Amino acid sequence: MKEKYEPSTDFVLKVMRRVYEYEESKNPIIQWLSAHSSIRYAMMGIGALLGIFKTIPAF
Amino acid sequence: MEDVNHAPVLDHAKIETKSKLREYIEAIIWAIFLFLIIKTCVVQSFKIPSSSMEDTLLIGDHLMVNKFLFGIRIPFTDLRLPAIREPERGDVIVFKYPIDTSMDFIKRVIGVPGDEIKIIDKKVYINGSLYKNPHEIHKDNQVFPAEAVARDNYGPIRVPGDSYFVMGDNRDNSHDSRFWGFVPRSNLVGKAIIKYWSLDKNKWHVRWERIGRVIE
Repeated sequence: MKEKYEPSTDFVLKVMRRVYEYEESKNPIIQWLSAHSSIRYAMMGIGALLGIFKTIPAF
Repeated sequence: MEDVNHAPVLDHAKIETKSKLREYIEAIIWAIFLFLIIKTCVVQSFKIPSSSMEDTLLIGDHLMVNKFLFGIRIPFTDLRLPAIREPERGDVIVFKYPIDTSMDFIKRVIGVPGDEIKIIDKKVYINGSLYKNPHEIHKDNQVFPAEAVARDNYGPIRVPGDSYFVMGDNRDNSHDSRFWGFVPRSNLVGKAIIKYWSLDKNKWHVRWERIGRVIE
């Protein structure tokens, strides 16, 4: 008869790492967008420009 | 033991998410701040929905307006920072329509403070001299007397201080100072500088030749 099963002490750590790895692999574009601060600044600039180019009618 | 092991992983993820969210919020706040500063102090874009400034500005033209030339207006007040220069005769300006300040109008400055304006048979006289702007056009040969309508015969009238007399380049089809009076200086928005886009919506045709043209 086999001895009683005992999970390793870092079992939860290992599982959680794999869960995060899987979650991160699901959205590579969002991951890429959020990873570079220059992209955030570019988005900020584009947002400001779009606001500026929002036209008002002048009769 | 188990709690000790998995806690750092969760905390790390939580902190990372929080800081990314914060960075995005900061970027959005900066975008709004930049937009407001540029729109208030530097340039603002307008589009043309009417034919009153033809052929200088056609329906569907999009243009940039210089907001600091005549003095930056401090938001929510009537106060202005000092102007680089005052509006001159011939300038194409955007201003708040004096009858309804929620609307913006664009016209050409014809009379500056102190000028005497008189229109006789569609011809504009300023201080007794004929003034013909090279951009003005007439599309109607009919001439109406002053008693009927102010379009072709008007004045004489003197432009008061801190006010401007403005007219559309399409003289026979423009609702301008002849009909509703002078533009107070406090109503000025800025000077039209450049056309950055032009689309004829009837034909869905981009007028490439007009894009990038300076407004004179």
